[in-house]
Amino acid sequence: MSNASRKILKSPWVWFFGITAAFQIFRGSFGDTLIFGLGALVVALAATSAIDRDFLNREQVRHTVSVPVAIGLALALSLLPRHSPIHAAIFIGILPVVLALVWHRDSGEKVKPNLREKRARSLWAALSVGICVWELAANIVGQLNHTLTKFPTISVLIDPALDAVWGQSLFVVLWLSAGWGFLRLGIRK
Amino acid sequence: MTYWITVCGYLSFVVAGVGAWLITKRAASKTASIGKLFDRVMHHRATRVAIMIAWWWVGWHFLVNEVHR
Repeated sequence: MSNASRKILKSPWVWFFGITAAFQIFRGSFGDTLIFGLGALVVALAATSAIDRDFLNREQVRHTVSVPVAIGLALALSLLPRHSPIHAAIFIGILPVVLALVWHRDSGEKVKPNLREKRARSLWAALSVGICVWELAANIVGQLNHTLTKFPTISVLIDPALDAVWGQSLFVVLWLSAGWGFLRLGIRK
Repeated sequence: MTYWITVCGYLSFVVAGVGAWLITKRAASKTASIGKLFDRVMHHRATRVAIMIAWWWVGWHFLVNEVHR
């Protein structure tokens, strides 16, 4: 087995995206199957040295550029109606940029975690897996019983709030803030 | 009935998560904060890429896709 194949098979994220893509088939969602399937391929590529270069760095995304862009995105995503072609175009435009920002080479070997970090890892893994399993169960039981409301998924619970401008705006702000936070940690220093 | 059991399940995780976040924020905590955890997590390229794709999909799911309800 080649080194690249070993790296791909060892990456838990490739498995995560692959299994999620397979689950989307059960859900009957072609679009999400495509997204998670392509996601698995992109993550597999990231796990190898196939495209081992730095695209964008912190110097190229100074606040003078990123803040107006973030504000523009927030306004567009909040005020324009959901499910529109413009929203789709914005999202398709955002994705390559954020991937380019985090595609840089890893900085050295990862230091082994100390006890505090191991505890944090276990704690948040348990909470994350727990809520995912809870929602997966709700999804499966709901599908088998042909109901979307008796065993609601997170989407079914949150989506009605986004029908109002305030709900959509709040979601956009939270979503962009999370992305900003991830990028702050993920952009090459 | 099943609706509320399901919702209470989600709320339990949310409350536990908020509680964990508040407790681990303290400098004296025996567990590292979530910020420190993400700093470690974002070390490998595959993980960074996976997290950004997952983040992107959450936005796509609610703002572009139609959620069946």
